[in-house]
Amino acid sequence: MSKQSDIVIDVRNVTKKFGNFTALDDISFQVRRGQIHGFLGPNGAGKSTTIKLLMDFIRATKGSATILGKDVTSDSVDIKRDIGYLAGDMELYDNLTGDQYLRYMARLRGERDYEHLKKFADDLEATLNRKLGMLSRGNKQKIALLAALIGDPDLLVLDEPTTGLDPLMQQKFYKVLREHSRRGKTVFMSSHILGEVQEVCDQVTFMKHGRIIETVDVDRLLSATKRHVVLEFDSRATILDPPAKLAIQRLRRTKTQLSFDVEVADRTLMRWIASQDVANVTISEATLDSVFLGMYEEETHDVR
Amino acid sequence: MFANVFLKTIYEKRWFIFGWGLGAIGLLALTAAFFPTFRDSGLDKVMGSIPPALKNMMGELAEYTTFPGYVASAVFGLRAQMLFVPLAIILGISLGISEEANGRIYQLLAQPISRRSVLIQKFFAGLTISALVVAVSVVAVGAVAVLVNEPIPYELLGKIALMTTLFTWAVFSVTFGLGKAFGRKSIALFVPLVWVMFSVLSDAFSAQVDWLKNADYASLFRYYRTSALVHNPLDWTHIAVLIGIAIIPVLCALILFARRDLREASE
Repeated sequence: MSKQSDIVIDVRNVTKKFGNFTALDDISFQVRRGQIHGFLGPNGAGKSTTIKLLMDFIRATKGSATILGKDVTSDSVDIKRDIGYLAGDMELYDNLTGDQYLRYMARLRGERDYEHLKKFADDLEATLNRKLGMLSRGNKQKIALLAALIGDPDLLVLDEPTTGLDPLMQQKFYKVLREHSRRGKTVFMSSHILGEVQEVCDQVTFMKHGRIIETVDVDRLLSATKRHVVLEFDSRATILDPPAKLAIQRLRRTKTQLSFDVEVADRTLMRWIASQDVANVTISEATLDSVFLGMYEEETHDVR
Repeated sequence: MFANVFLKTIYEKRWFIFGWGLGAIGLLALTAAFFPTFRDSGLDKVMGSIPPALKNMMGELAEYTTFPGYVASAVFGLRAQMLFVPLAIILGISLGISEEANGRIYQLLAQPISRRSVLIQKFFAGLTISALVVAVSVVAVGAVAVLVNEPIPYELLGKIALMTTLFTWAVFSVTFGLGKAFGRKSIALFVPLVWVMFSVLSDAFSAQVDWLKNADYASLFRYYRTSALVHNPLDWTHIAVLIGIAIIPVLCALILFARRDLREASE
């Protein structure tokens, strides 16, 4: 059990309605200190709504949420001294240069300057002397990332943060997050890019249709599901379900394909595959992709 | 460079101040500069024959024969409204709602600064900007008076400056307050426009139409009559009403803006 002081974000039974539309439906989850916690789901799942609620841009219809033990609504200003926020589609002040913008943000946070980020700005090759309106999406995103890091906040709240960054910059960005986490700081980031979550996150909360599906440790999730098996059949072949003793998970079936996850690709599995009229076999290490898709499919079946 | 939202807003609006200041100089100072031509053309006599409703719209015609009266009636009584009403509405929309509509407010409210503080700082920035433009236009008219060698009492210019500032603040505040309170550009634009249109009609016809006489109390222009300032002292009731109009929408917005969802955030 985690100690209460280790809980950085605590969301309890939060519901958010926009008129008759329920954007968040009684969600609860926690984020522990020092973690990089992914928040994963398809578009419209409610990830941004949750983040905007945590940032006090919108208010919960029911339930409560705290950050560092403080209420996100009543202690909003106090909390934000410890939070750095970045959104992938964030609009900046286009008429300011990067330098003016960062100085302004530093002043609003009660800092004199952003000197401690100058080296990192060089690493990122951030353009500081041109107006933000003249910069590309990716270059603006670098400035927004620097702004989020002003004051070395205890918690970074990131809403699809790598939108617009090229792969090289994405890697630099992941490095920053890992470094932040290594120093005992916490990162909460939403994403719909599975590879990104798999690469940097310690724990991940899956969300769909405004509901939390599951919160799991990424390593445990991947190690618990060791192999992903895809069997391809001729269109006239009869496709039989694998026997129960194989303990398969996340079975998916199309007209010519059967895919599932297994703990171990052992002799029993191989014998069964050999007994089928299979045209092609692929056995690979499970990715978060396969787990993610399987999880959503299960959830859809449950709903039905 | 900028220590707070107030200074940042003033900096951001520097070209707005310059543009409207130039526009005010162009419209008001030039109108004032035409006074000698106007006085010598006998147009003031022709205007005696125009219908009463139009007379009301044009202010006190008797005042047109002196430069102070002309400035108070033709320059500030007529043309200033055409200038400062759009200025106040555009500024109110810009500071009250634009930042929320285009999503730039998130970067600001992600910082340790309360919504109320943002609202108050932007409100005072709006008041400062509109007061600056009014001041520039009054100074320009004063400069024209020297150029055309037509004396005008500084006291009158001061009274005109005060009432024009309060009138502009009132229109700005209604627009700004509605924008912040509801987060909808349509409401922030529609209500002041309708109010100003009603005020124009009421100002023109209330003397002739009985049922408009009481409704005229709701007219903004009832409390902004610069032509009356030529021979009369400041009307403290008018000042109080304009200050009230400038304060009440912002007080309501302080309560509502702090409690509501940011509009663009709605999915």
